[in-house]
Amino acid sequence: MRNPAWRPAQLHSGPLASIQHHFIDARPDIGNNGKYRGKPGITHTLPVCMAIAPGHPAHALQPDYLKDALTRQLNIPASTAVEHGIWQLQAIAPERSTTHAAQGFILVFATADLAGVRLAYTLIKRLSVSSSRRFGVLFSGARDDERVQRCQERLASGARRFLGIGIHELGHLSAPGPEFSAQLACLAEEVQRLCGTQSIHNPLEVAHT
Amino acid sequence: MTLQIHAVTDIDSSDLRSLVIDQLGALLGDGARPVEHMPSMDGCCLATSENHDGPVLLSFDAHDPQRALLTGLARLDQLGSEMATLFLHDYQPPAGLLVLAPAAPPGQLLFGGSCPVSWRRIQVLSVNGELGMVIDPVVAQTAAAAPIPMVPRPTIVEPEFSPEEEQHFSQL
Repeated sequence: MRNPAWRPAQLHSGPLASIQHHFIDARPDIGNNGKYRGKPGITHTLPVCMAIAPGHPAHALQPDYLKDALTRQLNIPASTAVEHGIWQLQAIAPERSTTHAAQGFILVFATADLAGVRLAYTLIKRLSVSSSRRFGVLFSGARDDERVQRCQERLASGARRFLGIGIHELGHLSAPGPEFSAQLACLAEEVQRLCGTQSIHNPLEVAHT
Repeated sequence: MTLQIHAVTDIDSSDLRSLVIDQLGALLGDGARPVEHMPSMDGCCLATSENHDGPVLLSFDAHDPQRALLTGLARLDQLGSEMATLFLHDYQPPAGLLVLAPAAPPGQLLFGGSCPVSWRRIQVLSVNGELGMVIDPVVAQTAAAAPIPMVPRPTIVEPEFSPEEEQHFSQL
């Protein structure tokens, strides 16, 4: 059969039997990939702020793709974690200066150009007034490493000088390609570390995106 | 030998399903076949073919094009629901809906070019007591939905820079 999505129902009888109680009393817990994720433990909400400049390259990583891919990656069960929990990414609207979830670490995804840096700084400045002062900035869309370095340094020095904030530099994530899965796994591990969770990712275990 | 041909006005749903499945090749192209291990859907069936990227939902009614369309739309909703994802591993929703009815269903002007919905005229005949189905050739194929370009919306925020900040962020 051409479409592998449709497989014999017998393959799914086990998983279905294990979750049948959810059909009766509660709405099943469905992940972003549409699959049941088991009984939830702790829910980790990661606020994400998008600083997408008008010139965000089409070949760069797109915000919606990042959100989905990182959510999947963060929700891969860690091999050594006792209780993994469920990760959710919550987009912060630029016009809202604070949210309940934005009290901890905030991930800022920015276009790697001057407009992206200015946007990222503006958003960090706005958010830092009333909510979190812990930010990690991830860039995408740079032509080379030098551009990434200049963007990071300009933003970090400005935030340190004018806001007194130390920015966690999360580097650059390119569009999906040969190295994307490994880079995404590293990013997820770093995000979990910055969020203060104890779960440790197996670097070799990456989401298929 | 004289052929006794007349239009069939009363056909059982299961017979019409059998006719549609027999004609999948004519409707969807080479290699078309019904998706296996699917629960029975009244008035619909799901099929794949080499000409389509994903499964195509066929909705058929020998009399009422409106019912064929609405049944197909309702089935599309069900196949796109969260519950469907529980039953089907690596779930992929239908790539399109093909309505089979003796007349055009309502909404073709609206759907044409904006939704992956198309329609083919069918007529069920009895030939010497044997049921058959005539499928009209495609006259004006409705355009398939063009993929929506995934262009991100830029973040719109007015910069609130002091002169010092403006100077600092004037260049990389």
